[in-house]
Amino acid sequence: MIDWRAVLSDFVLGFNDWVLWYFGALNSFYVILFLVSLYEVLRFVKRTFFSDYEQILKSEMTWPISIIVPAHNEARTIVETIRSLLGVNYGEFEVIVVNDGSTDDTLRKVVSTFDLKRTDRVYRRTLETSDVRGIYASLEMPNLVVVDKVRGGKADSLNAGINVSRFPLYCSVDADSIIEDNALLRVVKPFMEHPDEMIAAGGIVRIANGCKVREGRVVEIGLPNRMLPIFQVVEYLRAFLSGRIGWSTMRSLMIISGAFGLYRKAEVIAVGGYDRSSQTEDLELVLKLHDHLRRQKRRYRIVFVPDPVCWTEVPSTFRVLARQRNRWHRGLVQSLWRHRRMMFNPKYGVIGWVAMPYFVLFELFGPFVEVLGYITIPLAYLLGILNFDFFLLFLVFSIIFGIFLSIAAVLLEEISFRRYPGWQHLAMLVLGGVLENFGFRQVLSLFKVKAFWDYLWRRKSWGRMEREGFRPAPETGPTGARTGSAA
Amino acid sequence: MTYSDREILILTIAVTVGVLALITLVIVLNKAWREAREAFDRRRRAALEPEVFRYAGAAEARSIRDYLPLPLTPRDRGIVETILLDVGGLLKGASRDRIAAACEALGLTADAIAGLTARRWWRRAEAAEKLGMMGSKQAVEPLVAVLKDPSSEVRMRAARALGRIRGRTSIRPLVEALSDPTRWSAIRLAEILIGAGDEAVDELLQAFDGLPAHARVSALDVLGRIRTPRAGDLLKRSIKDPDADVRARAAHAMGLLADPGFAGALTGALGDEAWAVRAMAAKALGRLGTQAAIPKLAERMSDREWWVRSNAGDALRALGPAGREALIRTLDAADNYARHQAVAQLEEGGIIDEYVADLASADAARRVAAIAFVEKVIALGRVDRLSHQAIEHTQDGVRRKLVEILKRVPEGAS
Amino acid sequence: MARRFVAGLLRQQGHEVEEAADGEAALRSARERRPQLIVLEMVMPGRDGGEVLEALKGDAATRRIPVLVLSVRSREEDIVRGLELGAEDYITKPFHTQELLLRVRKILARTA
Repeated sequence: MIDWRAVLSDFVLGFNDWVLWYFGALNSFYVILFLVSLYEVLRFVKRTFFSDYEQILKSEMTWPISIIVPAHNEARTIVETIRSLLGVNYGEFEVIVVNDGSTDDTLRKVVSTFDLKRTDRVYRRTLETSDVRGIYASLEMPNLVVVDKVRGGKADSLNAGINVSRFPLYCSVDADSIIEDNALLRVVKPFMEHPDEMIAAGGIVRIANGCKVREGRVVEIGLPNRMLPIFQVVEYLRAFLSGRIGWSTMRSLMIISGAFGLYRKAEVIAVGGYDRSSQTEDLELVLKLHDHLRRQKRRYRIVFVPDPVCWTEVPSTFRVLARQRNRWHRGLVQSLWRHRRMMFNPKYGVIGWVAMPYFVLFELFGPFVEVLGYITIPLAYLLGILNFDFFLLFLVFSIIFGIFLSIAAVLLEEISFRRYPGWQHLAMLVLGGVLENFGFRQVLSLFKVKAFWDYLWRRKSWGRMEREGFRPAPETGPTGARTGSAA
Repeated sequence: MTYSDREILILTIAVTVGVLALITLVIVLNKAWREAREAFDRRRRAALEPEVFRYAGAAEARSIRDYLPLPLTPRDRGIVETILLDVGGLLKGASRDRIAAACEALGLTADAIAGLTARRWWRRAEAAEKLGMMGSKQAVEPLVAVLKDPSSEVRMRAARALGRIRGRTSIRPLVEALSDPTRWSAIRLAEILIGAGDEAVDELLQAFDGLPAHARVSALDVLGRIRTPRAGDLLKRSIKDPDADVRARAAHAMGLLADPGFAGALTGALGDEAWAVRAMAAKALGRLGTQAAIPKLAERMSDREWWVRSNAGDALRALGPAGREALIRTLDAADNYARHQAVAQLEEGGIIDEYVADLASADAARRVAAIAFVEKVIALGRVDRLSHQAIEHTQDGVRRKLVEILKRVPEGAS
Repeated sequence: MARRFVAGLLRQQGHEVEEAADGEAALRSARERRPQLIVLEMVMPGRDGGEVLEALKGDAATRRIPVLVLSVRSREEDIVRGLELGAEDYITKPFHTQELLLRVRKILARTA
């Protein structure tokens, strides 16, 4: 007869010991990442005391950019988005809108508002995409092109945009995001400084919930007044300022946000463009680029530039948030598995030794450890072996450390960009940073565990993302579907 | 759970809480202090700015010392420096010299020059940047020395500063730097030289023959973008250079200058063995508006390389009625690529639209010509726009005719 | 800052100057005050100078007010665009103060 109580007790006690080391390692790593980011932020602030942006704007040597906007059922905001993109502060650029088989008014609105006509623009179908039904342009406005195609998903639309684009660089932009006026100038700067090595650059994504938006521009920056989005504001600050800056400095940036990224077209084509079967095509693309370039043993740069800003809306209800995080995590698992040969492979440098193991050990398994921790506590209590002191200390330890990381991210923001000017904003951010560790983070871990489970059982759910819309419009119901990918 | 583990935990927690409290305190204090300082600076700037502006806008020669309440507190001095640099960035020529004079008079230039030897790279870079904006000739020699700085950021800012200050002594080292691609980004140097305008031209013309091939390429680029007529002879020589890149860039520069005198050389370059040269020559001829080149350009529509065909097509489109005729004749060319390039050009130029409108013309000859034209376009597979017009065109007669033709003529391969 | 400087420059010459912070304010002010000259920068947040120029020339009330463009956009295409949209003259930054003042004087004399 197996003594279940003894087995379980051993397991719980062993787990307790082990989990301390795990969280010790995890948090130490976070601290290192934060310190690296801190160092780089200070350097960055010192480097850009006088802006070169005017010069980049005027210079004829600045590379032209194709802005690609995949759009599916975005009738409500698409015209505003296009207008604000056409007015962006940059020399030579074109805007390519890819209508991904929208079932609403999207195409009709764009064609009629900008007076576009069908044309026979010739292009090379370098990347495979779903059928293109037609291309629309206007002789008066040569830098706006609309590609109408059969539904194929976001990755597919981006590939179609790449096919049609004319310029050596392309910038992928979400249809519901707002790019700041000078964002292109700022994100192209590294390309001007290191023209031979630069491959891709990403900017920071900031949260538009709570900002006042007029005619497709953010005219007043503010914080949302619901707690869930505020938690995400702090989370994004942590992810971008304490996270991505650090990774970028260590030359192992693995993600460039799909909402706003600038890429060298030739290289993206060389790796086969965006992957249509991926849940998170942006992550997959960057990993493919790293893979390809490292194998070629080329000197290259894929960087994060904290300066250029893209404003985007985040879910304000748990339901939509759950779907979004589920998709992100499934995509993460999928991409890590696909590129598993980079792990601990000396050919891949820092990515192989540090970044990928980090993601697997901490991002992937972390949620399991955490959830397991919450299970073993009541289990230990039931078995009568609960060490109350330990339990309390551990909980306090992990929560306080979480608060520390959130406040540290706010510090980074305050010494660099200071986009939230008021004292009330600071108070809300600090409060949010504290409170998010009392439930929000734990819930996110649960989402991730479920996502992993979903991935194993290959369950795919296509979500419809409800959007509140930016402030000017009244709160309405679902306005459009978020594209998953067609497999 | 051993005793010492707990101690460690308690210690770690205490330290973390302590650091947390410290960070929060730092954030709050930092913000408060910064806001106070910014408010103060704004007030001082509002007080000093009008005076500095008055100095800058005045035509007479009075020193800035007459306008400002001296002696200046260090904080005020910094603010005045910022205002002067801001204004300096707006102005050029004699107006900017006044800014340079003011910076020298207040000792700001001397301070910045001293900053060029600071220990930290970002202080050196900042000093170089400021000197560029001040525009003082005193800074030229110290900046030239900084061109050898170990930090690339500092070197670049020094180069930029030299480009802004102008004068031959500051430009010469930049032209020399073109020969050293490992240390200098050619693109950024070129940018600086273009900004320097005429002075760069003198140096480039003098130094040209001694430069290696890749530097000659950059030099030609700069000369072209500055659009200086003085480079004419040099360009004519360079379009026969043994290096293909140099030839191509010379052709491109000729296009930028758009001097009809280059027509002969460019038409000759249309037969160059390197496709880049042919492509650039075609593009340039379009900009020159050389009618005599039309037959040769029409030939280039059948070139092997896409860029050459495309540029030749663009050029023909830019060459008025005769060029247009050439494009229409190319619809019957033997080469398939040429036909497609021609029809693409005609569409972009709105010429297809013109013929479509003629479908309902009262003049029988024009109608016939229009029908023949549309049939050719369909045979080349360009039906999207025509189909669109068949539905959307405002004239009923046109629509009916289009529909009829579209039904009758089989669509060709695109 | 550039706006403040140019305004100061003009005031020094004895002109009465009103400043507008962005495109919207400029249009409003132009309609209400009917100035004799508008100095316009093309690069502005919100409605850019090109849109403002188009609006000015499209409105009967403001069509005849001469516009002098003073802009950082200095490429050939930018200058051509400005003039095509109806600008009386186009000066690129950086500029000469005396040149600016002279051109202002000429425009005012021409349209007096």
